[in-house]
Amino acid sequence: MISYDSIKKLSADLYDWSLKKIPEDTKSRLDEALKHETGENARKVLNFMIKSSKLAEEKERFLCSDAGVPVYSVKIGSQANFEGDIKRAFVEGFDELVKRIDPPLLKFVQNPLTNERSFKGKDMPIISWDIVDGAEYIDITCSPKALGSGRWAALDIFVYPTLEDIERFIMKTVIKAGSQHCPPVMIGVGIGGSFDHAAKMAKMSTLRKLGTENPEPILADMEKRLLKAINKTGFGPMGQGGDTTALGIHIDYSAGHGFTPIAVCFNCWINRRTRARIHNSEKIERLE
Amino acid sequence: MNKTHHLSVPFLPNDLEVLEIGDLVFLSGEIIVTVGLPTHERMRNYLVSGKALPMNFENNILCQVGCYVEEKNGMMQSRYINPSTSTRFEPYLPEIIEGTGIKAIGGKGGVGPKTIKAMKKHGCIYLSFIGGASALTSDAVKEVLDIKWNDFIMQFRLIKLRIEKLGPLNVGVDTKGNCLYTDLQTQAQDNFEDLMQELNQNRRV
Repeated sequence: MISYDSIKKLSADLYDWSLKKIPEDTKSRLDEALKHETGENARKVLNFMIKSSKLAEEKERFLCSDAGVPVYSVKIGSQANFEGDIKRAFVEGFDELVKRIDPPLLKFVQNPLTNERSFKGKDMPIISWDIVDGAEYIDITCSPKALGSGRWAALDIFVYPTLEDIERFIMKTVIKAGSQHCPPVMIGVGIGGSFDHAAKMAKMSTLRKLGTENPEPILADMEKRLLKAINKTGFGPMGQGGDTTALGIHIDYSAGHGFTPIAVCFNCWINRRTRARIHNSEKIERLE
Repeated sequence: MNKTHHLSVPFLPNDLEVLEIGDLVFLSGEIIVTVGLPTHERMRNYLVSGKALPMNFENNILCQVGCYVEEKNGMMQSRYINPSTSTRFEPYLPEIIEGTGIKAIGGKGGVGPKTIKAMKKHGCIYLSFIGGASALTSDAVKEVLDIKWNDFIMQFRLIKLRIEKLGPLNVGVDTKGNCLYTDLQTQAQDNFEDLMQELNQNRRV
């Protein structure tokens, strides 16, 4: 039986870990980028990024002063047994983290109607829920979101778009964001479905592991071509000019009707993301 | 070839004219930081109404940098710092540059066209920090010298820090009004149709 306290603690731990270590796949991409980057300043910036993230991991320091707001994706196994109010466990997990985390957090939860900031707010943490048939665990991914990269996401609705129309919209969104979202970025795209579903697919795509092949051949090809094109825009690491504007681009799609929403979103280079499964035995399996 | 410069803050006359976009800078001395939009708004309102600001910004740098200050044994110390996106301060920066005698703005991602115009007029530059690299960047902070406007939440207050070898910071806008970000944006837009053509030609599926 998965206890209320275990979910609470794990949700807080996942947020804590995400602030102090970049994911392994992201590290590899940064190392790879450094090998191929031709810009002199770009290489210096990449070096500084790699060095700083190593230091953050070793000394348990924050990667960024902006911890963003807590965002989770939770998948509940249909065979998972848990007790207590699972939603409240995340809310209280965040409350406890605020009290115990070292170094302490700044206030980032903002009420958009009053612009007041605190550690609490309506719908915080932001959680999307899903079910995994047959599984006896709860799978939790934490990916905090901050203004720096959150601000540049875009969604537009098209009618019967061609592949070129889709790629044009993605490229325009990338160029509009330019140097501002702490590149090299991780890009997520959702095509089709409905307004909300496209946005969710874009977000979930940023969580897919770098280096994994898209199962849909049209999208696998699109991802490869777009990554090349985006890295030819020239913005480079932190917009200092160079060949590394994106670490990766992942695209998902859904069947829909004739109207086709296309959503594009970004993660900054630290690509904060942690993931774990908690089994019915209460064993915790770290996946990221 | 880009150059690397080591500068002290407050800046001396002629320190900044030699800097060109793309050059790297390390700063030592005193800097003033805040990431508060309401802080920038209040600064502008003070300047417009002729009210004195609580810190002297002349020949200094104002950084859109968040800072966590902790009190330990009666001493204030910084736990970490890191930059924020500067373009969102565009409504306030031109008047702040105009009214304070400030010589540099620090942050990340560049500044907007009105700020660049004000920078050119007043010999002010923009220095870009490396976002997400708080662990290394924070090591440059040696002392918290002053905090003002404590009615704001911590990262929105005006905080004066003593720093040593803060950087590398990249010159994004120089005193002549050249801007790295505008140049790269123009270049990307100019190349847009070529990139689209390449995307179309290489489509395999």
